[in-house]
Amino acid sequence: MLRSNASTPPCSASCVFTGIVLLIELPLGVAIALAMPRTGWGVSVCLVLMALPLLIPWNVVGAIWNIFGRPTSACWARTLNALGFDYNYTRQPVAAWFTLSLMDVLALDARWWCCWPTPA
Amino acid sequence: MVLLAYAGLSAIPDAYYQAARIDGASRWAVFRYIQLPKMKRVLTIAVLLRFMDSFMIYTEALVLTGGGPGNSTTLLFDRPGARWRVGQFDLGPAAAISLIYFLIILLFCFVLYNWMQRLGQPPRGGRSHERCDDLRSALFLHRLHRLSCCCRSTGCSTCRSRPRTRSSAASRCWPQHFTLRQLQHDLHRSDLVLGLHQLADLRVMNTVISVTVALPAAYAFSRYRFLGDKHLFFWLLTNRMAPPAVFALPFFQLYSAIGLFDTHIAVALAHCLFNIPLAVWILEGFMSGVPKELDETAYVDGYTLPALLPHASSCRLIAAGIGVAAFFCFMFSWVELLLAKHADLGRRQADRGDHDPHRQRQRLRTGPAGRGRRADHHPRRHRDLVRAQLHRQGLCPGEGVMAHPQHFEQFPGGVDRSGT
Repeated sequence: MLRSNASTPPCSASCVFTGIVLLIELPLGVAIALAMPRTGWGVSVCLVLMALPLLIPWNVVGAIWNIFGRPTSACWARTLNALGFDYNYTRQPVAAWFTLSLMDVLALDARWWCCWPTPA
Repeated sequence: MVLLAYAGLSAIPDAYYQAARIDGASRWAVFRYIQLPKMKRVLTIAVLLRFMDSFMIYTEALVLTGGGPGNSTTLLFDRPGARWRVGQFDLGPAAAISLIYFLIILLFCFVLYNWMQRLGQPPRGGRSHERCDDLRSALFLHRLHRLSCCCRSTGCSTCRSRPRTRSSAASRCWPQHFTLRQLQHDLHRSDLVLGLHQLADLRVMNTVISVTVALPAAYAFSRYRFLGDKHLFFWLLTNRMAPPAVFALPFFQLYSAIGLFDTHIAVALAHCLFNIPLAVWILEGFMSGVPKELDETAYVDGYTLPALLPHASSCRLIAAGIGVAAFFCFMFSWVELLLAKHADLGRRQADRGDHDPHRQRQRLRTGPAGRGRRADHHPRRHRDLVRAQLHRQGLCPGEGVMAHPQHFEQFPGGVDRSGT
């Protein structure tokens, strides 16, 4: 398995993916934590909102993003395309990596606002 | 990461902020010289645990992109053929991939763990309440985060579907004709209700076992110092480093040998593999927050060690921790699929196409022993399936650990070659 040439690119991809996720999540997580309220009813609301998405298995997360990330239906994807970026995660490797990283970083939190579908 | 960082921030005493306010420190200075140093341990743990999670992820990438375009987003476990091998019981390559995962994660975690030790701040606390609070909060919230990770190596039917480049006719994501008919149908399915009952049954059993075993272990780790205690404590983490696929074959062999295959307790014990370390880490964090003086007082009052755990005030003080550990054990066991699938009860009905509710209930009540002559039905089918797959791969007979028929002859009831 270790000598197989087919194992090296996926292993590199896993390392790159992990590095990207950690590089983004560490400062972003600290920043959001600093912005969260410390007292009052907002604490419970924020914690519940942040924790709820974690209860959903990741294969479901992937299925959700598979639908909501489509360039034809997702608002943010359509916006990117309208801005001139050729965003299509099924065709563009960069777009695929961008979507993967975004999905992993945001888990499910942001699907409500950045993937809000627009009528065709 | 947000929750971990928030827990770290919450554990900082107000006295630091008051002192900074008196000194007229700016917000950046408070962050740089108070919050960041105080969060360093929590963030280190967060990085360590998040690394484990993200490195083993493949499901979400597989579902989203199918490894494409081309192979650009093919991760290690999503390597072409890897998941197919898992699905086809070709467990040799699958276990090899899992071991590669394990070694990489182990190396990174070992370096990070030693770095944490070198900071002079042991990751499992026990010397100051602040440290305990940090770690306890970090571990507590990490377990919450891990809830979503247990399905990563289980695969699902949607994993096989590649994304469509063209959206369906209805690119809208809300239903055009809203109805609850499917929901009503599902709720009335007897197999679904039975499956939920079985799930709860097994998971409660696993939770009880895990917490019962973890409580004295956590007490020992928090109260005693012995040779290799830190290494042993770290070793517990390694059970969470390897994907469950690597344990599938050993469990299969073990359960086959001791006759536990296709029993309730088999699934519960399999889940103990990762739930007991989880419970130990959670409970140790809480236990370390209880002063030793309470235990010493209990000893003076005449309590012995076995009586101390259930009755002493330390146990009452960590009641919340026990509840948290039990909850997370239950949840992790609830979402785990791969190990349960290999020693599962639910597949039996699916394989047989037997959906008669009465028979299912009776089987659930009586267990395999109550099934009389057909007690070895499912184990044999599952076993034969594995044997057939191994035979196709040239491993059976004569090669490999599964090649010896005596491994299979030890099932209760023996092997019924007539097929009845």
